[in-house]
Amino acid sequence: MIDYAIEVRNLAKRYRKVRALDGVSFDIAAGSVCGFLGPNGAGKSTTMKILMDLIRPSGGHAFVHGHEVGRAGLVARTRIGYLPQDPVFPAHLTVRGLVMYTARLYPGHPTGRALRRRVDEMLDNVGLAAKARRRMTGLSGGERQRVGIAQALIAEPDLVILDEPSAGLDPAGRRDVLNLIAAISGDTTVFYSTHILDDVERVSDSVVMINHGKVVAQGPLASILEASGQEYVVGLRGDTTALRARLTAEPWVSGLVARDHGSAEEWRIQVDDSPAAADGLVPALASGEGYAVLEFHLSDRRLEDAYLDLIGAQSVE
Amino acid sequence: MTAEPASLSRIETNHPFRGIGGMLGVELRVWFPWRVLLLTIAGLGIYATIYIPWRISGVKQLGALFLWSMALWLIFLLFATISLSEGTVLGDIERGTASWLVGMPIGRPAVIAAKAAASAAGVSAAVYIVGGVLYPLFEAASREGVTRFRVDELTEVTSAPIGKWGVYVTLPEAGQYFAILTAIALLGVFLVAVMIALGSMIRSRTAVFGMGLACFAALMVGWLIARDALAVSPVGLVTAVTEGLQTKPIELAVPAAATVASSLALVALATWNFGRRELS
Repeated sequence: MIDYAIEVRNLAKRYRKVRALDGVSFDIAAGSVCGFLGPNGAGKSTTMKILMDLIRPSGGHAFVHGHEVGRAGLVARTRIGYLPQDPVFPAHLTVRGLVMYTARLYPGHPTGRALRRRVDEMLDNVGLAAKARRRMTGLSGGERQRVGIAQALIAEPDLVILDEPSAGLDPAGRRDVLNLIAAISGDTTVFYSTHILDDVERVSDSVVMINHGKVVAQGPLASILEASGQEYVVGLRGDTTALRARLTAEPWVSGLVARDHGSAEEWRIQVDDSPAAADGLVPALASGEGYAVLEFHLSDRRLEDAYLDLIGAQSVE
Repeated sequence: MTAEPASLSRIETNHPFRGIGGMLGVELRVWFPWRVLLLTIAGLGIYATIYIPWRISGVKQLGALFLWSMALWLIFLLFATISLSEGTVLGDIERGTASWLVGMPIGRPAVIAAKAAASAAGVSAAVYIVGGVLYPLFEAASREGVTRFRVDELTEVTSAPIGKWGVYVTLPEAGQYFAILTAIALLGVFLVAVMIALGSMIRSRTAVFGMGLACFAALMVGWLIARDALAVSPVGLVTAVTEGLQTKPIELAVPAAATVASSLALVALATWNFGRRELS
C-alpha cells in the first residue's frame, strides 16, 4: 500500500466568474520530490494555499497525510513546512529570531541548546550564518527567500511545500536550494512549484503539470518524458522531397520539423509509437535515393519539450 | 484514507488556540519596549509641558498640573492606541505576514487572541508606568504647593475654560488614583478590541483608522450627552475618570465589567471574521 503525503480530489476554486481550479486531482507519494509545473495563473499557488488552509476550496477535498485540510488543517500543518510565494516576515524579528520562533511552534521541537544548535545549523545550510543577528528589514530579496526556506525546513517536517523556492535567488543560491531539497528527499516529501524545468529534472522524481486549473499530466518524471513521445534527429543532404512525403504519411510520425543548414538539412521527427518508429524509420531512410544520411540518433528528450508539448508554448520562464 | 506514516509520532491537536504562547511572545515584542516607551515618553512629555509653565508662573496650584496632565494624557493615549492598533490585523493581511503565520501550526483564534492580549498589555503597561511615575511627582508638588484650589484660578496657568469641571480639585488618594488609571487602561483595551474587530471586517486601513476615531468620538459624545444612560458601558469609565480626577466617589466595577465583556465580544467577532477570511 502506497503512503500518500498529499491526496487531492476534484479540487475546485472559483473567484467570482474565474475558475482558478477546475476538478484538480493528484496524489503525491510520501518521500517523493514532486515538481508542480504550469504557466503563470495555472492554479499552482491556489492549490498550495488550499493545502495550507489559507483559502477554502469551492469544491473537492484535499488531504495531508490523511488529515483533511479544512477540518483538521491545524493538525495537518504540524507536519508541513511552508514557503509562500514572495514571503513576508515580521520586520522586527532577526533572522535567527524568526527561524527560532517558527521552530517553537511545532510540537516536539528541541529546546535550549539543542534548538539553538539546530537553528545555527539550518542558517549555515542556507548560507545565512553570518547574518543571523540581522533584522528582516536589512535583507535582500534573495536573503529573505533563504530565510523562508530555513523556516520551512527548521522543524524537520514530513512534508515541505515550497512555492517557487528558487525565485529571486542567484545561481549559487539556487544550487544551495536544490542541494537542500536533494538532502532531505527520502525522509521528507517535497512539493514545490517552479518555472525552472532544469531544476525539476535535477532533483524531482515526479511531476504534476497543471494548466487552466486542470491537471494535464502527473506521475514519475521518467513516465512523463516517455509518454510525451520520442524524437529522432536526422541529418540529410540531397533531394529529400520524396522521403519527407513518405515519412509524414506514416501513422507513427506525429511531427516533422526541418531546418535548413545550407547544403544539409536537419530533421526532427517526433513519433508517438516508439516500437513502430524503431521498425520503420531506418528502412525508410535506407530505401530512398538522391540523398545521403549524414546523422541519425534519438534526441535527448528534455522536460521542457514535454512541458511545451503538454501545455503549449506559454510563459516558460 | 492513507495510513499514518510510522515516523509521524507527533503530538496532535486541532485546538484553535494552539501556538498562542509563541505568538504572544512575538506580539509582545511589537509593543515592548519601543511602543510602550514611546507612549511613556509622550505621557511624561505632556506632564512636562504643563509642569514647566507651572513652575515658571510661580502659581502653586497642583490641580492645574494634575487635571491637565491626566486629561491630556487620557486623550493622547486613546488617540495613540487607535493609531498604533489600526494595522493590528489588517496590516498583517496586507503585508502578507498573516499568510506566513497562518501557514504554520497555529490556530487563527490564537493569532487574534495573541494580538489582542499583547496590545492590551502594551497599552495598560504605558498607563500604569506613566501614572506610577507621575503620582510621586504630584505628591512632591503637593508638598510645596497648594493641594486644594479653585478651578477658575486655573486660567492663570492654562488660559483654559475648564471652570465648569468643578470648584475644587485635590490630589486623589492612592487607591482612587489607581482606580482612575485602571479606568484609563480599560478604555485603551476597549479601543484595541474595537480596532482589531474593525481590522478583521474592513479592507482599508484608512477606513479602520477613521472608524476608530469615530468610536472614540462617540465615547466622548456619549459621555457629554448621556453619561447616566450609558453608565453600564465604556462611557461609564469616562465618567469614572472625570469624577475620579475631581476626587468624587466613583463606580468602577460595573462599567469595567461591561467594558471587559464588550472587548471580549469584539475580539470574538474579530476571531470569527479572521477565521473565515481567505489569505492570499
